[in-house]
Amino acid sequence: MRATLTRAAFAAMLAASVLLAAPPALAQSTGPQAARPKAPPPRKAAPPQTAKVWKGRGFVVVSAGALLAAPGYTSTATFKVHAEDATLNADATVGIGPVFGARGGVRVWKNLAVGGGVAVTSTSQSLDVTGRIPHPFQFNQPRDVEGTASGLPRVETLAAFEVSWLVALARRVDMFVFGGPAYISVRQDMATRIQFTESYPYDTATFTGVETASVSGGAIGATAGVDVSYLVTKRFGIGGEVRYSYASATLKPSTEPATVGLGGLHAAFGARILF
Amino acid sequence: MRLAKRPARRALAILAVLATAFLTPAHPSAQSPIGRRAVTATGDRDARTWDAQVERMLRDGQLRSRGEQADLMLEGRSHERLDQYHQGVRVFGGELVRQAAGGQTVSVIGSLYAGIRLDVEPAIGPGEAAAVVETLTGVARGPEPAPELVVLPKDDGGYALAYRLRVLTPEDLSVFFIDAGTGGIVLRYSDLQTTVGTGQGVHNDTKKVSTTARNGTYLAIDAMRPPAIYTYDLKGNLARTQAYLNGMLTLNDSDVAADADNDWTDTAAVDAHAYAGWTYDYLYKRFNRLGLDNRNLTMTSLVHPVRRDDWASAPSSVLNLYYLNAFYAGGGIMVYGEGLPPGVTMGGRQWNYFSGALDVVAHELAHGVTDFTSNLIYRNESGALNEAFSDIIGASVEFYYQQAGSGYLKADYLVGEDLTAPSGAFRSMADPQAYDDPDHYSRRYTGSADNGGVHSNSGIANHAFYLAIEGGVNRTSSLAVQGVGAANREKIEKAFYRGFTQLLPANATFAMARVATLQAARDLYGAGSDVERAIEQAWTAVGVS
Repeated sequence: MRATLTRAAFAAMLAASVLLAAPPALAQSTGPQAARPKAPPPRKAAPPQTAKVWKGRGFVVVSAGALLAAPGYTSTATFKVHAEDATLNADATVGIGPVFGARGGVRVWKNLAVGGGVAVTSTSQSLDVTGRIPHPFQFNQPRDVEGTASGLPRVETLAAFEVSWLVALARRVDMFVFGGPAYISVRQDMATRIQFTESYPYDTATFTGVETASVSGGAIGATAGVDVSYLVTKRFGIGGEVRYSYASATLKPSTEPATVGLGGLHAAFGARILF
Repeated sequence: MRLAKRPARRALAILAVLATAFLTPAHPSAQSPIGRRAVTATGDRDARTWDAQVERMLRDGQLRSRGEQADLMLEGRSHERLDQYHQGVRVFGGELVRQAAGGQTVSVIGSLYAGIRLDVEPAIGPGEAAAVVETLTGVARGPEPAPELVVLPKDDGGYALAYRLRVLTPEDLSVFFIDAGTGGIVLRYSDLQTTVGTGQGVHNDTKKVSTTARNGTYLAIDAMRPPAIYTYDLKGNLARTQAYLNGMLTLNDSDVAADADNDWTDTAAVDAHAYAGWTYDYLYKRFNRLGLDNRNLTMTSLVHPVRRDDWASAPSSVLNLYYLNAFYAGGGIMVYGEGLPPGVTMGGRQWNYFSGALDVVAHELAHGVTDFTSNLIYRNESGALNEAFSDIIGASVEFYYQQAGSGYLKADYLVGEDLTAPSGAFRSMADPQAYDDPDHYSRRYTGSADNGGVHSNSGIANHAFYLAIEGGVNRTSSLAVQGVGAANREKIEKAFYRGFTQLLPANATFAMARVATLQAARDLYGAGSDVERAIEQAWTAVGVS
């Protein structure tokens, strides 16, 4: 996980540095502020911002933030213990974690742009585990066990086709409302077996942890969000975005598939360049 | 126009960089800061990715191939085992198995350990590590195999540089990990590979059997319970059976009942082995007793002491002892009769393996308990009490594990009803007269046969046990007993167990048994309890006062 974050951070910094280092001459387009009157008449109401027309060619946003909420899931597994089926039920809670993302788009009509975005979330999961462990000497006399397991890694990657609409909110503040279909892939550890201890007479078993398998999968879902930026210069701004995404994937850590909700709500801060 | 396109290209390039960075699976050891990482690459994409990863790790020396073996089930496939290494030292348990088909990797499954930061220079040599183990166990090891220096992943996280040694002691096959820095024990575990198999019992019922894997086969050695429980298959060798029982030879692993796949089909061995364990469990759970001697004496069962097919030529003494009988031979050793071949009847019944009756197994083991407690002399009244106690334990174990009812594999107050077809019995605790046994002291056998009627007069005491639980009217005295009820059988069982094992002397009489069990009832449940009343009424009903 550490390496993943490091790689993500490096990539984000790379993207940011490339954008920030871009010479002004490269961006000749006029953004929303280009149409803004340089000296609005005093006491005269400004024209409605929404009426402004974005005349630029496109935009790129890079951001970093946090996953605030994510759907949990339930998985089950059956495995052999003492010549009989043992069962595992895990209720997973996905923790908060860093998000790194980038979006870009090309204006196609008025304030409408089409493009895409990616976001990578690295989190960990905790599991509330219950299970039944067969008795070593008798059939149909399982012992109930329960416990928690935490720190199971999960990396989620979103790739979306997005339609964005630019709304000018104030003189230097504008907002993208965006959304579209998204493919969300995930690689995560899932519980496959319960680890336990037992001793004679084996009337009880004690949960000690879970064995996991790294499982990957993905599904098409949807994403939507808003991105509000303060324009420091004509083409460079800083701001924040809130995005909600959701997809439902079927993962198969063992013989029993689990339906896993992907995505969630994340908030991020970042830089925008208009061109 | 050209200039304006560059940012867009750059943006796309950045997106590509980000996507590549995040979508490429990271090295497993990099994803986990420390600890075990399961690898389960079975899909095409994952398998290819891991195949490349394996090749990289092989080049880096992090993996070493142990060799490739052809798949014996699927032609064209092969399996390669790869051990994980850290700076040239094998990581214990770090292993991948790569399956290939036609040169293409099909799957990569295994475990790798990440975050290893260990100096691999040991402070002690392998000889010193071996000396540590020899001191601990008192077992001298030969030079081969030499202790292996490994990186040991510890249960509580982290790693230790350690020497790994296996030592066979009289009690166990132990694996030691000796700290290569300090010479201390990092880990010790038993390598006796206890397993739970399944088997068909004499009545085609499936039950679990606790076994031990050794040299690719499964042996009827139960190492999961506190005492070792062995079941030996004498393979019909009567001479060997008798030599063993007479102390002329010792049995070894090749005599232990065995099965190739742990799905056992030797019904006599299955039942002898499983029921010995069940009886131990009953004694422990009901009375907190640790086996026959209360010190976890090894329990040994012998099955197939003779060949069934030899029954017709067997002397009557052998027929009666090794075919149609089961007996406790002392020292925790039980011998179970072979029964008769299918279709052969005796007394109008076919006779099955004697280990196939739970009450019979428990009965014989209870003789062992008696041996180590009151040691009731096996003749006359004390002998009848000895037999009665075994009947009582036999029935109690049945009721502990089986549903009440009639027929095979049901709990009842018949003795040995699971041995014959059609189902019959040797004795009835509910109605001794039904089998010509006395149900009242006045009807007791006073002759000298059967050690003074130990198998007959036992009916008096075990009928009292029955009446104290179930209640009813004694056929001879017509006295009624208000039993405690089946739901409270545990109380009567405990009172009789206490009285018979802890309060009775070796030459006890029925009258003493009455006193002892009543005293036990008062000890356990107080004076005037329902248990005391039921036991008092029961003994009175059977004519013991």
